This record gives sequence, C-alpha cells and structure tokens, in this order.
Amino acid sequence: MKYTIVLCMILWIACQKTDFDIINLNNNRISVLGHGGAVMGHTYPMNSYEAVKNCLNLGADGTEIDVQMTKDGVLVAFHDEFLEQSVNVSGQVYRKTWSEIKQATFKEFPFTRYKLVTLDQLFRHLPDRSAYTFFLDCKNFNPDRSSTYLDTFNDALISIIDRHHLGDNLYIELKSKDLIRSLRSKRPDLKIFAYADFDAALAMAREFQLPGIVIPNNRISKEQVALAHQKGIMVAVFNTFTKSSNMEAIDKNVDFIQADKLKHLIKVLE
Amino acid sequence: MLWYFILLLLFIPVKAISQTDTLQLTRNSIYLEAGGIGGIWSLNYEQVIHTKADLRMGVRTGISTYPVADYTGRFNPDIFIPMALTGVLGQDHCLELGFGQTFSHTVQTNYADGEPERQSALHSNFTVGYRYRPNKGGILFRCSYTPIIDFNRSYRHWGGLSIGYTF
Repeated sequence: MKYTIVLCMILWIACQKTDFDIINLNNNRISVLGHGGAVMGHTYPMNSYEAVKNCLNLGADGTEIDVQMTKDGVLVAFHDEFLEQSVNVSGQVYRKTWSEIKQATFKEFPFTRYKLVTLDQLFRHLPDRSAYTFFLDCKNFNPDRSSTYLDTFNDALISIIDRHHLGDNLYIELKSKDLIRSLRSKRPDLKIFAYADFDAALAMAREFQLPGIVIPNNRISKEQVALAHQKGIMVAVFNTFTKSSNMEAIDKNVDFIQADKLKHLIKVLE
Repeated sequence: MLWYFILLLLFIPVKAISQTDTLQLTRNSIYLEAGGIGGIWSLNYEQVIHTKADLRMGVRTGISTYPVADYTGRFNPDIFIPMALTGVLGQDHCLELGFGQTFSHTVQTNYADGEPERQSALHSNFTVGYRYRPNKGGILFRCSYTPIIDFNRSYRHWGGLSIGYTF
C-alpha cells in the first residue's frame, strides 16, 4: 500500500505540465524549429529533404536550413564547408557546379542513397509551405565578396523566395555587413537576422534595423535576450543539443529555438 | 505476427536437420546483433552445415528494420536481410570469418515528386571477429569487424556486437 502511494505520487509529479511565462516579441510564444531538419536524436541526414519533411511531420513550426551556392549559382541545402564531411563527393560546394554534385549521396548509414537537394527542389515538394517558418542560414564559405558574387547569390535567393511565396514566413541569416547591405539594397522587405556574437549581432541589427539576431544558445544570457527585446529585436537560438538546453532556451524567453532535441521541445511547449 | 512467422520459418529446417544429426555438436545459433552486417541491428539465425576438426562452416541469415516509419510519418519500414557464409575456427573461443550479401529494401525520396518510394539493393558484407561459442551449447557472444560495401560501390568500416544462444 505504501509503495502504491509513493508510485502514484511519482506518476502524478511526472505527469505535471510545466507552465512557462513566456514574454517575447513573437506574440509571447516560442516558435519551435528543426535545426537543419533536426539532426541530433533524429534519424535523417542534416538538410536532406527527408529530414526537413520529417521535422515538419513531427509538429515543428518550421525549420532552419543551411544554404550554399554552387559555382553556377544553384542554392543547395548543405551545412559543411567540405562536401566529404557528409557526402561521397569531395571539395567545396562553391567550387562545384550543380551537375557535378547532384548525384552526391549522404554517407550516413542507412541513408546512403539520400541525395543532396537544391533549395528549389526542397521547397517545391513541401506542401503548405506558407504554414511554416523557415530560417535560411547562408553559409557563404566562398571568400569572394565581389559585387558579381553578391548579386548572383542574392538573385538566386530572391528567386527562390519569390517563386515559392516565402516572403512572409522566411528569415535569412547573414553573418556580415556586406552581405546584409547587398541584400537590403535589392530587397528591403526581406527579413534578415544577423548571425554573430551577441554584441556584433546586436550592433548589426540596430545599424540595419533588422528584426532579429541568431546566437548559439550557450553564448547568450537571459539578460541579453531581454536587452535585445527592449530594443525591439527578436532572438533565435540554436545548439540546444540536450533537453536541459531546451529548457534553458525557454527560460531565456527567446523567440525562436532551432532545436536538435525537437520532440522534447515540441512536447514541452505543447 | 511477422516475427512469429519469421521464427517459425527459421525453426522448421532446424528441427528437420537436427533429427538426423549424429554429432554431439550444437549446430544452431540465434543471436541479436548490434551493428554488424544487418546495419543498425539484426536478429539472426545461423546453422552449421559442415564441420572438419575445429572448423565449422555455417550459413546465417537475419532480419532488421530501421527506421520503422518513413519521413512522412507513415509505417513504412526499411528492411535489411543479412545473409552470409561463416567459418568458425576453434573450440569455445573462436576466430570467425564470413562474407555474404545484405539485401536492403528501403524507402527514399523520389526526387521528381518528393514522395517516398521503395528501392531494393545488395551490399557485400565481410566479417572478421571473435566468437565465444561453447560446443555443448549455451550463451553465444560475438565481437566483429564487419565492413560493408554499400551498393557494392563504397567501402564502409563497420562493427558488430552479438549476444545469443547456441543449441
């Protein structure tokens, strides 16, 4: 009898839902996004079509996707600087044409037949795109910052956004002033988040009047999030590899979490 | 239910052969392998088909599924069937060598329409490892290096740990 009561109490405590008093600039709710389609603790290779689709099926509000541009101006969903880190082709995306890498398959077993996808392919096959939030993390590993390069990159990006009607629900993560300035000059309406250390990101966001900043979860405090919010700047965090880091991010009142422990975060914020 | 039929199919030939077996050697093994030639994990059955001194030649097959649901959330399991010829040398503590093919029937995207489709393929597998397999039967343990040539194109280092029963 004693043990039954103790067991019931444990179950009761375990079933209690935590209430969060979320106050932020995202209508006082935290948007739950997959990180590259949610990789850690999930099944599919990062940024693959399957990972993104799976992440949305799990109930996420959207996902972050890493973007790189090939030598011939095609935007590809891929994270690493060197292809050989994840797929069976070596080299850098910006040194290859799309036709040179389109047959590349992921190394991660058992998904060794899964292919790289272009951003266009990825969005084309996602139903109800407008119902989700997307962050594009622009990985400009190409050291070229000439106006020709910037124009090509921005044109490719704008073309995808317009073709798939993503202007309202897509945020673009950019790391440097020249990239932000260049895109801003072409399309001031697009939502750009500055991605850097907190001080640098905040400074860029204020200088260019950006809606938000993107910071690794372990590099931003609750006070810094509050400071950004005071200035009208939203905060997205990533690198929440554990359940406790999910809880930390929630406690900071951030606006978006690009989660690796996606199922946990969805359940907690349900 | 599926597992019941698989086990049934595995045990029917075992029974038939063991009735005519005059050796005092245990010939059958069933084991669960983490990693190994079945991929992430597999449930395997192995039977000794030939013995000569300390060498026992056998055949093994198994089954594995991972993941069980596809990326759209539907029940649509990836299936792996490892098959191999094995040679086990030694008494109780043995050296194991093997080679064979792993059949896969897996889900991937049709990149033309974004929908899941199933594809079948063969992958060569190899095994080099240690096996504890008491001749009189009982607990079996294996620890192996099990490289796989994915789609018979790319070599992948892989390994496996097994625990099971010999009878």
